Amino acid sequence: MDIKYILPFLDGLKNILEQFGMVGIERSGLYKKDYMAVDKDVTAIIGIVGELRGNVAYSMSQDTAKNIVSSMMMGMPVEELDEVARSGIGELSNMVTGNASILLSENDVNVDITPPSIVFGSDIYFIISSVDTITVDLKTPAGEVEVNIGLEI
Amino acid sequence: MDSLYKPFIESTANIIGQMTGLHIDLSDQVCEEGQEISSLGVTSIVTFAGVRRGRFLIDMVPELAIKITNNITGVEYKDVREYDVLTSIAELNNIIAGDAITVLNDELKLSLRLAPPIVLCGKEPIISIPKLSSVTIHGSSDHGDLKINIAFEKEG
Repeated sequence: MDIKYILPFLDGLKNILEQFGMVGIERSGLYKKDYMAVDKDVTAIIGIVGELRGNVAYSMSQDTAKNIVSSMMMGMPVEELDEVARSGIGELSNMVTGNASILLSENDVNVDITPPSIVFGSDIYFIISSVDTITVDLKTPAGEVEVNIGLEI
Repeated sequence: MDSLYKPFIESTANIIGQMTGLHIDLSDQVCEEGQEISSLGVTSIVTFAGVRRGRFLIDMVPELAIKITNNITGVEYKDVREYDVLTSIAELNNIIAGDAITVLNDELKLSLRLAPPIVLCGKEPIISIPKLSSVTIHGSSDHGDLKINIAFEKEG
């Protein structure tokens, strides 16, 4: 998978989190998976259609999700991942992937995004693509976020 | 019945029957669903975009997922986490959703395109779809229960 298809999703996450005051985001790992086994509690998945076809999944712990939603709500404390908080994570994945689609269009790759699905639970196995999944770990001030990108190119 | 849902309901029973020889009884009742769905064990999701955006989900007990895979492949699988079991359910969902959106695109000119299917299994996962109202149709078979859930974003 060409790096030019991966970077927009990482830059999209960085851009959106920075808008919520989370700066200093670092990449801490990059690897390839057949299976997407996730040991984190919260995963937001969003589909891509158009000139690229695939899915992108953002996985994080409950604490990271709470911290991100708190930042999205101007620092209001988030005690539990209730309906509003879960909706916040869905909206975040929409904003990040929407931002990534704009970055892709600047490279003449036109895509549309599908509605996000948020999955909660422990010890979950996913397959998000019939081809390889590229995983990038990002360290953010809210905690670690795993970005899984499965594109059919 | 809403013309958006009917193609998915018809395709589910027809395609599972054609591909696996299993009979699925789908309820006549279409239930309005909240934003959260508790998984029965194995869930596959296909999302789509076009004139409308939405999502089709098929969810079943592990025993039925294994039986469907065994009937499709002719191989005896025992563990639902095996790659072939999960990818068979994902592909089944892809075929059902592909069949249904072909009908919707022909009849309603929605220009829908499918993202690849996602499949997941785990300890009692909950799937949430913020801001999207959906309907669920429950079904049963000799090898356990399943349900399908269809969601479309509101127009405009």
